[in-house]
Amino acid sequence: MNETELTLEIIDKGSILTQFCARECTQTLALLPQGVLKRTINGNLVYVGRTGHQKYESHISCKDKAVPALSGVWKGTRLKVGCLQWITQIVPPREHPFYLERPAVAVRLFDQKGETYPPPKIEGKNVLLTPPFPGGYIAYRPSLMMIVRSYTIETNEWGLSVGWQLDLEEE
Amino acid sequence: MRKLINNIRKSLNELCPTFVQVPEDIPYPYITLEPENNLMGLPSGPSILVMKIRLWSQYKGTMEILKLTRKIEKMLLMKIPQSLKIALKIVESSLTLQKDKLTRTHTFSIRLRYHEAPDE
Repeated sequence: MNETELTLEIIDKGSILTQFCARECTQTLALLPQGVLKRTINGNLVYVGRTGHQKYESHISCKDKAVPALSGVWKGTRLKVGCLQWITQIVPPREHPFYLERPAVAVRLFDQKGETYPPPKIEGKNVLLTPPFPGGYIAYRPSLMMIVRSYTIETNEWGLSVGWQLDLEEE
Repeated sequence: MRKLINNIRKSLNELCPTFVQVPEDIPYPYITLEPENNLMGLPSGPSILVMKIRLWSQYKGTMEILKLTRKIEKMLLMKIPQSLKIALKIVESSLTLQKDKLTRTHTFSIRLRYHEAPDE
């Protein structure tokens, strides 16, 4: 078993996660501030923005014994992130075809009662749902193309511990 | 979880007799495994096992216990994660002289991340 489910890859170069650098990681996914909420003339609150601009930002941090291979990673570097954080999407009954919001690296399928079903076949964002799944939820760990905003690394020399934090924004 | 603990016991047994329940009149040194907490990741894992690995010694001085500690640490970090396909982290390690002034213990507090087979 890997030390973490998280994957961080520089395209065409490989993984930046080395041994002993990513045990007990924490990842947050948050909505990137885009668009604005405005009041109409009737006082109703509406979202003014493009759905194509709805993106995630992410903060990953870890305290372990080594740092990832961050040399050569700068503001603007593209990373392919296999997230730790699960996202759950509602699957309405008889919804076909069904699309995930983002490509997935791992998937779980379960119904309202919590009963689990075999993971469906996935092609990109397209999920091939098959009977007897009655509808319910699909939880998945998204694979996101992200841009480095900043990172910090720190070492506690006599505590023999190392920490790192990475701030990312979806491409 | 029981199978996992037994596999860890078997691995550490190569270095020093290792027990979950210590039989009577066992000569020193020996190792005890003390599972403390097992948190299941729902619905399909992985699980996190928190446990203590304690090495007991009555050698006059610290040489024996420190030598064994180094071997155990190496095994915990390098061999056991690979052979058992788990992730393991030593959270804390400490050496203590017990109240009898004869027995020393070295305690590793460890955290293990593993996937449990459905039949376990």
